[in-house]
Amino acid sequence: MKKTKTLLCFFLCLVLYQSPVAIGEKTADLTALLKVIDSMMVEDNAQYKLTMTVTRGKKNTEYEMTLWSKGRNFVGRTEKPIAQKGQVFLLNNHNCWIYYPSINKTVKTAQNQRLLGGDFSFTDLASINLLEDYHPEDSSFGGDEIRNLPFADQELVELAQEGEIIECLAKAGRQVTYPKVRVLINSSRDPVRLDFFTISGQLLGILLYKDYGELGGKVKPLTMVMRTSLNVDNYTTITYQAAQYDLEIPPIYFTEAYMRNLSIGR
Amino acid sequence: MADESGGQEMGNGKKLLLTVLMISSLLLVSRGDCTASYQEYGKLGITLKESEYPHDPIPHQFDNSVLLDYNLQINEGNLIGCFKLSANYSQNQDGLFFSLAKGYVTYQNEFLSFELGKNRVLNGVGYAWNPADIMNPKKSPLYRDEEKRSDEGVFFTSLSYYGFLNSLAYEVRGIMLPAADRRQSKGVLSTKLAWQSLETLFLVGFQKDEQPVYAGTGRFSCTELPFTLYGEFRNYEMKTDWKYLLGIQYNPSFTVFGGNIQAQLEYFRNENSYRHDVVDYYAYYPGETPVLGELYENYAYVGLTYYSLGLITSCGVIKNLDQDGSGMINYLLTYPLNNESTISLGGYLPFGRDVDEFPYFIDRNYEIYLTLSIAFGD
Repeated sequence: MKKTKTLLCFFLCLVLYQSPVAIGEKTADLTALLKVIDSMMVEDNAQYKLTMTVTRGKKNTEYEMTLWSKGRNFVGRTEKPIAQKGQVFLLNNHNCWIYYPSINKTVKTAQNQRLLGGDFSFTDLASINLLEDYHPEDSSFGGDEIRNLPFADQELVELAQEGEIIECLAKAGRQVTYPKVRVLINSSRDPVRLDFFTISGQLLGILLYKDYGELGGKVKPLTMVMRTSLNVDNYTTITYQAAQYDLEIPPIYFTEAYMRNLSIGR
Repeated sequence: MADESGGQEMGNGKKLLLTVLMISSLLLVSRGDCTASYQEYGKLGITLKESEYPHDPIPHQFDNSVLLDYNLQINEGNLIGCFKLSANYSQNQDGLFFSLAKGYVTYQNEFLSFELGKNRVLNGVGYAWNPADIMNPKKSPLYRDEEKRSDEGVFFTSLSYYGFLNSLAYEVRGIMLPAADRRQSKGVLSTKLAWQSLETLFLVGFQKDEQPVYAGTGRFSCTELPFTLYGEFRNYEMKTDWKYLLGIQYNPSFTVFGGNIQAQLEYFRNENSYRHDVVDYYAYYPGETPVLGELYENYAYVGLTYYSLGLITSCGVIKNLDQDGSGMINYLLTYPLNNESTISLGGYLPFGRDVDEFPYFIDRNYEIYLTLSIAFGD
């Protein structure tokens, strides 16, 4: 009996001693993972050339854009189609503006407003900051549940089974568009799908990362697909054409006053 | 009223000379090392317009028109030239009219911007009224389409300096607006400050033999609520000529059929109001055009816009809150046919008695137009 008690005490001590370390290690691992996911979205001091295609049934509308990012702020300019040339979109510290060159005017808007009538909002392009704004947790989401997700195919089920699922809940007091984000990661630890939810669990959008490849010397998803509707034929695709990193982008680019200058130059 | 037309008075010969000088200097600069980029684009607009005139023997009249805009943009490093030439054929005027809507050169870097030429230098955050816009001719409140409200630019020279003080971004800008009649020439000094959710702009304008005019705008976004509060004012020193505007914009977090909705509510007050019957207006101010929607003391505006990929539709109501009580409704519905073409249906509808401000000065029961726009270029 005495031996059993000693053994139990030993195991208890071992568990108590090991648990915080294990949890700590796990948290550090999740944090590192979120850092990678965040950098996949938008890098600091970078310039991107991209194509955004809005699909509504059989109709595709294509936009070419230049995007500059600094921290979680970004400014984008429409290059094509010619009818929208020179429109500038700015997100700075949760504040958003659109500059219309035809009337030389900036209009204030909200960060959850959709860009160019597509599925990406201002937030989706640059300001989702999983590391800073969310608590990560390992998810108990199972195979059958993944199969039942909207737009889940066999490939996604296999990717999720080989990889990991992280549930991210917004930290208290943070101004976030999505209170809950579920991240599916493949075996290479690259994000493949982000599901965005309301606090009550209603699905608001699905962001898919596809075609991992080299972009400006770094491995990045070259295609992002955003769905905000359960209609299979309605979605928006962003395809990156080129990127430059570690630039010294002047902070004045991310101000409302400079939008008219960016509309025509640089 | 003299301030409204300020920089428009420049002689035609001078305008043409300035334009030729700007284009040729840019072409010369860009030919040097052949690194300049050229972009040519434009728009062809075909408009069918019908109006009903209540006091005319021919009540239903058409003013169909064809508008061709040609834009040229030349970029050579920090030096940029932008030109917009318009050719307009109007059925009523039965003639082809050319105008230089825009023509300016600019040198810009991250600290400075120098501009010379003709462009629209707009100041104001209001949708229906912009009392702080002390440089341009008055906008017409009749149309929802901002381009139709006032497309004409002013000749100007400006120098801007951009900078930061901690997280406060600022722009200091000096603008000169020359005019053929020197007394109409104007200088404007402006400071724009932006700190996170708050933006402000202060302007002071100087015109020879006139009192200085002060103007300003402010805009504040509630970060936790989907509202933006804004306002602007204008006042002449030593005169009781305050005009100011207060507004609130609502950007809901939800989408409707995959599109965005935006609503504005504005209140406009004119301290120097006209206090007589509008029928007597021309007796008090012979030869002077009334500023529609700014004649009396208090006005309100409600605007609603819905925009998605497939459709942009907006509607606005401007109403006088004084005894006059008249107003107008304007609307615009734009449907993109493809990447290059759109079709728009717009117009306005005044309401009130025949002797009230809006029905009297508009003198039409309604106007409705249908426009097909085709964009072209690289």
